[in-house]
Amino acid sequence: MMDKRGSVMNEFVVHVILIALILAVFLFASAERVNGRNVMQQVLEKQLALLIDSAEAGMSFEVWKGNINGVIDDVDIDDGRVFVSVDGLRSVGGYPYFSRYSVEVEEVGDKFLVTVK
Amino acid sequence: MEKRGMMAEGINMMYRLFMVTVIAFIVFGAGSFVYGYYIDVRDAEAHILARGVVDCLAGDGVLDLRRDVDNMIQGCGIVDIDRAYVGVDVVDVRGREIASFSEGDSGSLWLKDLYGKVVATGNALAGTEGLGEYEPGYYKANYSVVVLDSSGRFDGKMKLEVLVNYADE
Repeated sequence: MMDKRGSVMNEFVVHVILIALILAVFLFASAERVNGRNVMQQVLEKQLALLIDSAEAGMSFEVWKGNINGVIDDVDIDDGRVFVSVDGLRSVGGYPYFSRYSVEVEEVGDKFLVTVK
Repeated sequence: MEKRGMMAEGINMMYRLFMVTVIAFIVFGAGSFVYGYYIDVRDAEAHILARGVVDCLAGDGVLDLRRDVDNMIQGCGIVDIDRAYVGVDVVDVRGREIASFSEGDSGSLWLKDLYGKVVATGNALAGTEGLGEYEPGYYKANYSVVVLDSSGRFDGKMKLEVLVNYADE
């Protein structure tokens, strides 16, 4: 009798721990998506795309690595899209821009220099 | 018998965990979809794109229609034009249409009319037709230009319509 009670208790504890783990994993994944690096990355990519769209040929602007939206690891321009990696989160889709000018990015010390040519 | 019982317990436990995982996936998936933060910059993009097209077509205030009209916007070299629609109607001072050309996804205008309108409801806006309507990513403007075509040079207006769609995220 005592043995059976103990085994039910053990089973219950294991159940609770596993369910708590599953919920924690999903909770952290949701939290990351809702207010984490994802949003910072979105802000930076869209700001850069709008700046590129507004810029005339010959203009350039600097993006500091230590940004209010996080630490920028990389800024890349590929196939008409801006890709920004923030706090280790690599950009998958990037954000497109319309500008007819060619755009180049150069890493200079602790900033990225975006040049519109 | 005991071994069988343990096996049944194990299967039961796996089933419960699977159900918990499925329910958690649905609940948090829906939560992340509902509370996911999308920053919509299409309005700004539409304004910038409109300015870019006007600068390209009539930068000095003169719209030269003696060029290949059908490829005029394409000639501006806008990247990713498939995500947007740019339409230009050129009229003279009496409103007579001189030329009309466009570039991009014209079907998105139809979709905008169907779904894209955000209308403020309630009595606050009663009698103020059009004021409560907001069309995300849509920009329409008229520009006074001097038109150059085969018949000569005259004053006219360039009616510009720009619609920017969502970028695939």
